[in-house]
Amino acid sequence: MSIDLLFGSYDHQGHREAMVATTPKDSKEHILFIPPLFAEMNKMRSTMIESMRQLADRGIASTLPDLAGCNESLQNLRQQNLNSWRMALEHIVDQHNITHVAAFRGGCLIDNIAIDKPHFRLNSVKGANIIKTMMRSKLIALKESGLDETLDGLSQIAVHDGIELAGYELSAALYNDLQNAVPMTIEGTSENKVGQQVDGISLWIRSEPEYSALMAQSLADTLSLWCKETSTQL
Amino acid sequence: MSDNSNQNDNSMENKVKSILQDILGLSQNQVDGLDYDSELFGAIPELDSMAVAGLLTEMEESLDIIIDDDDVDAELFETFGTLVSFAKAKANE
Repeated sequence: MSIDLLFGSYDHQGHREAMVATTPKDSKEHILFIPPLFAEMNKMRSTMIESMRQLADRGIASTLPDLAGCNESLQNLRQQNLNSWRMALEHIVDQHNITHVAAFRGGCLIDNIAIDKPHFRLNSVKGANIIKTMMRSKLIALKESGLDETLDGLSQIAVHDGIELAGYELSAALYNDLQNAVPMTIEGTSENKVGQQVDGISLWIRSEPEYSALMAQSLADTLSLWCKETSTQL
Repeated sequence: MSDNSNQNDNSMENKVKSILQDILGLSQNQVDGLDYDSELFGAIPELDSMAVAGLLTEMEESLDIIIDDDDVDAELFETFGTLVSFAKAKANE
């Protein structure tokens, strides 16, 4: 029997932001999914949601929030930075009895919250690498439009005034945050990679969004095993 | 020496194929069918500017090379051969 997804919201600086959750009856574990950033989130969302359903079938609750300024959020992305996202996630941990934190790709840059709880990472990435791909895409598009621009030139603009990359309006603060952000060391973190601990494909680098049933199931298997192992240590 | 160099050629060819497969979601048949003359840009619809950006970053990570964006133009993606030659040249730098 499949358990329904619940669409809810959480409070972020006086605004409501959307989140999706599964809450199987009598669940002892509740995983906070921290999504990848920007377009990578869209490319992984359906696979993450299917994993959440499968975790629910095994009695494990999970919550996947929209970060303010991303996905369904009505907030201006230019008002956000890595710390404001971390504070929002802290709030969710407190309000929803989160027991475990699982971060994906760029989500690993903001998962240094609730560090007393077990942490899981999938293909963590430096912020600079995320930015570089988006900057390249912008540069190629500008060149295709006949504009002569360089990466250095774009970086100078971004550092001082912020920049629009692949439809995402990044403030100078967020751009600079990301340029310097690396996943923080959190003791006991389970580091995982697709193709190693988790079966599947690198969905986030695909040029078109795709869904992987194999990855959804493998992710649910790996997460549920990790949950059970770490819960006995809590 | 020549044996080694052939091996390196093949290994780089396979690495670039694997990256193209990952980024563009090409089927095994499509990837197996790639040779040095196979056209890329304009011939593979999945290869748009966003995909090119992802491809460059993935090549840097997987092949442990650094790509100067000033080196990047449409000719680089003209054929599978030009892309493999570029990757080999960067790996030897």
